[in-house]
Amino acid sequence: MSFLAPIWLAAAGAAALGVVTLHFITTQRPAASPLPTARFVPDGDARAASRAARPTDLLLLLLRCAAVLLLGTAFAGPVVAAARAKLARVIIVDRSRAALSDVRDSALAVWHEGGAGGRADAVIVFDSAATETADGADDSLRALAATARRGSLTAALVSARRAAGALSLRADSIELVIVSPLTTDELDAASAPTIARWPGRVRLVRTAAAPQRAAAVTLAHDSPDDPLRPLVAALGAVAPAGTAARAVVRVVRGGLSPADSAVARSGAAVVSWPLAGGVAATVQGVWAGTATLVAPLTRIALPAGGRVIARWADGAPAATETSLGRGCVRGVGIGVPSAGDVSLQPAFMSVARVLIAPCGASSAVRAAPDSVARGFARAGAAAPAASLRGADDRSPAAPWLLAAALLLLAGETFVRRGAARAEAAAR
Amino acid sequence: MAVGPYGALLESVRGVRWPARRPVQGGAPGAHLARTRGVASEFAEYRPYRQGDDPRRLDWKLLARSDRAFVRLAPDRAVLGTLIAVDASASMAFPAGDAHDAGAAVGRRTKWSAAREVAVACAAVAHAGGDPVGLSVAGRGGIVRLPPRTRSGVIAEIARTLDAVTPSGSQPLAGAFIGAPARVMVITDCLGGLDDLRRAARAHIAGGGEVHVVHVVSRAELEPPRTAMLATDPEDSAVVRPLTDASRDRYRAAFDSWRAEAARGWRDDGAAYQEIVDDQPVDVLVRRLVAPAGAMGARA
Repeated sequence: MSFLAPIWLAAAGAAALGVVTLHFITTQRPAASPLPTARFVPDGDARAASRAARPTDLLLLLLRCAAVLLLGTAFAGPVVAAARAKLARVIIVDRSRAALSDVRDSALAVWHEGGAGGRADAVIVFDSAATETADGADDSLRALAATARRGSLTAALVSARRAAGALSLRADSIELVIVSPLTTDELDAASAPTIARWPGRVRLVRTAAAPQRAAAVTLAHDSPDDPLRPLVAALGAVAPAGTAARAVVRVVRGGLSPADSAVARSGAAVVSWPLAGGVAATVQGVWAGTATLVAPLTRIALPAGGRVIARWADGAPAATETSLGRGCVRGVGIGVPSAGDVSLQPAFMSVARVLIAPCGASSAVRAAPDSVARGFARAGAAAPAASLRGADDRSPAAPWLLAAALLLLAGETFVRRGAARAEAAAR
Repeated sequence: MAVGPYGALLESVRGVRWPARRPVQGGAPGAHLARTRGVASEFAEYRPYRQGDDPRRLDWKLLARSDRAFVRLAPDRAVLGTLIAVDASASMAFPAGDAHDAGAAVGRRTKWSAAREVAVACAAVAHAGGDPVGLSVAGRGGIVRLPPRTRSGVIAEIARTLDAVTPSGSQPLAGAFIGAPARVMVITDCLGGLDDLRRAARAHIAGGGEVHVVHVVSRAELEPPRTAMLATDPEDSAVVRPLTDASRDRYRAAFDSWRAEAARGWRDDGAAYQEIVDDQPVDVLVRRLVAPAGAMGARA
């Protein structure tokens, strides 16, 4: 058994000692004894305090000491841990789109360091969300596969902190291990401050980042003079419409069909980019990612919802993305006039690269520089378990101990009243 | 002389004399210097012959040498009647033998036993000097008086009278001065009727008498037990006060102050004041009590 706040035990012990001491000081009426010079004794309360050879009111003493000790134990927060390991590890494993299969191998190697994995270890896998594997971490790691989602190291660090709080009851110190390629898209402004709050050693096992995939773009329901054809030709292999080749990005120039949804569910990015129609184009600005385009364009209504990936100059959404199965469906409301050279401009090409990128994000996956990665590794001693205990840690026995202490205090009141009545009757 | 348990004490004070503090009035021949002149062989002074003087007291040799008639005078000596007035109030029975009482201790004497022994010893000393000795004991039943006598056996009678008394009540001792002889020894703890007693003593001193005050204090009163107790006054049941560690020092300070004030008051009244503690040896106390005024002053 261990205690969350053992200082309360010492405080309760001191308080109980004080109670015992007070019971050696009796305030009862002392025995009367003749003293001819009593007139020189200062007048005062006849119930004088005096030291007693043995504690008075043993039942009250026992009740009070028990109540004080129970209160102290309740505040100390007793927790029962079968065995405490000297070192536990919280292993963060990256399964985002930036990771390759070697992440799994590295994670398994870390897991098996010093044996077949510690009982006190915790494994957290993350992509855009972080999940702690409950039981069977070994099996979970063996079955680990990268997803198409962008990773969020901050979410993983927050989960690691929470898992460390739970581990702190079973280990003396805790080490944080990050198994990740650590790409730039996994880091955000909160990542560095969050890792800085980890109070001990952090080991970074850096794996290789997934290479940027060349998008296989297909164009469906297009026309021979479709202004997007030059774009598709420039970004990747252009497959004739209706071919059975598996496409990573499918640009649909008409309405979406169930077949498009099935493609999206299989992991492809289905881009619904309707034709401009007969609406007259006006010069407008649009930006997506870091690319900006000012050209004669038309606005096409977009379905509500989804993540905005491009906006008009006035802030209105110009393109949105909605996850669907393993892939996504992207709607683009930018009408490109069939006449003119808008689709041939470099600025349009930059914006279009974002719009017809694979699912997840438009930015490229790049490994973070070493200078940045060094900030996520820290030498020294593992974090003390006590420093990772959360303020909201609770002892399951505390409420029961508090209730027992209150019961004893209530009993003490009844016993004290009974003693007072007996004393009054004796007089 | 059958004096029972006082034999050893009386033997220890044998030969001790108790001179008067000042010349006494003339009277029956005794051991004390009198204010009158007599015809003893011990020369004191000359006085011119006056008509009516006994011609046999003329110093004929001086008359022959100087042709002047002088009468030889010698110092006169007289007895000094002595009354031992003893306070037998309830407070003098302290400490009692009850194990629960404040001063209870094996072998410890009470204030009464000390007063009784001092009274018998001083009476014996006075009686040995040829002085008539009497006794007054103020107890519950009033004042028991034994008039001053010189006959043998008076000391034994005094001892028996004292032994028969059990201290109780709170009878004032001032009444003992009524019809008292010239010398009165008051043995008391001064805890009851002190003002009346001092008033009577002042009147007695103003009348030419001398007063000796023996203030009896118990060791248990000076150093009360360390255990907390509810102190009760044996002469006043309304006085009930807790004596604890917190109040003990203030009690001792108040008691010391009161004793010092009492001593100063008695001495200002012209009385010979001595404080005795009940555990002191009585023969030593008696020698100190009967010492001449100069010797007492030197000791004080």
